[in-house]
Amino acid sequence: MTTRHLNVETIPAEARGFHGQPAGLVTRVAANLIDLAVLVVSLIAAYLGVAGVTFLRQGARFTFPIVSYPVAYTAGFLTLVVYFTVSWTTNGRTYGDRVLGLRVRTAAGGELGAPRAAVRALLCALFPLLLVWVAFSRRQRSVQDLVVGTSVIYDWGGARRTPTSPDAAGVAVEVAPAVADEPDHGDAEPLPRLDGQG
Amino acid sequence: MHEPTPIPIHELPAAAEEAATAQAAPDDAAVSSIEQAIQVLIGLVTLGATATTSILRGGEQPAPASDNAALVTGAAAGFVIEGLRAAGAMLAAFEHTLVAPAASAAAVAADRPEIRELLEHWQRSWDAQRERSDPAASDALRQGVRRAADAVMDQLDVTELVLEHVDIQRIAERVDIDALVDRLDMDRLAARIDVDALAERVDIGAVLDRVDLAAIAADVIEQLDLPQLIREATTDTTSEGVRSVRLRGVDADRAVRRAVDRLLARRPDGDAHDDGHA
Repeated sequence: MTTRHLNVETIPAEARGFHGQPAGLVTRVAANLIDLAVLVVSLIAAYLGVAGVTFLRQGARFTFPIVSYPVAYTAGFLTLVVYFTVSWTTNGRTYGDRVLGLRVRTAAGGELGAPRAAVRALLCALFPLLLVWVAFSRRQRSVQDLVVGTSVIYDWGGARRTPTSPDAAGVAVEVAPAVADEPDHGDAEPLPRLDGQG
Repeated sequence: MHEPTPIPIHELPAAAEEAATAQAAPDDAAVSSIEQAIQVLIGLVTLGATATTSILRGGEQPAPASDNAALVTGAAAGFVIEGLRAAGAMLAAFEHTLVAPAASAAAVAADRPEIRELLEHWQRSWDAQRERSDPAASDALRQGVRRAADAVMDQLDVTELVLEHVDIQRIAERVDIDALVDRLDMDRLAARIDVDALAERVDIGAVLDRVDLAAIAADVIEQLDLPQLIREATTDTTSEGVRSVRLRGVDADRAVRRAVDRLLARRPDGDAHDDGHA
């Protein structure tokens, strides 16, 4: 059986010029600000959740719980580290990265493993200002990037894939003449046949 | 170009026949010439009789000799033929007895000088006259034949004749179509074809009816794995606003980069050649 690979471009046309190139300071700062907003909203939501549970338990005696600064910072720090680690490990991007069309890769262009993502998350949460080094680095890498061997690239594509592979900017689609013999790929549901057979 | 293919009209053993006549001729040339003349005359009489009979019958198919006219014609022809045969026998006898001695006598006479001189003089004057008269005579003959042929052709519908009597199919089988096609200028031919008019006459609907469009579409969709494609293309929130923000971000990145490059007096195209420890 001959199988042809058909590359279908899913990157928007205006982004193809810089797809896969290292991202600059402004977009990364903007992405981090969005992530910070996400963190704040998450913390407020968590606080309100705790308050709600307290209200249910205390009833009329309820007062809003008072959170000390160390507790708040610790909670925020831990939340941010977990958030970064999970985001970079699963999809290579946080919500801020996604809005700005960024993705975190290893220096070689591969996907981040959990340990590397965790170390990077710790460094980013502890020393966020080291991001400024992006402006001075020739390959637009922050200090955290240099330490853990990562880089941040422009990637407007939706799905997680390796940008340095030959079909970086497209989706590799299996095209087989005899489709009946082709094993099912992934979890895609087979389309109903239009001619009524099967 | 192909060599013209010879088309034998009759499968006659012409060469063998010629050899036979050449052998028979020297034996008794005079007798055979008289017999040939008689045979020709008999043939002419037979032909005339047949023609007369068919004219009398009005062009119908020759039936058994039931009508009197045909009977009379046939009888007349037979009488003439028998007469000719008898004349032939008499002539043959006359030739045996007279012609041979006369010929030998003429040969003897021709050997004598004065007679020979006279004969040669006559021969010369005949030759001279023939040189002048021959062209005129052949011209007159040619014109006469042409006029006669024209008159005949006027009476005949040659096309109808060919259609009736010629097996065109057999001729066509022997025609070298390739050679004909080689001589055609296909480009000029194609230029004369009105493709639009042709296309107007084509029933596209009928063609499409014969195509299983549904099966083709199903095949294409199955081969593309469309659901996966759509999933991958739409997971991202690439609305217009988001795209605009991203593009502005990229522009800002470049602006910052240019500014820093200028600040550090760095060549702006050093992206991929350094590891960042600049």
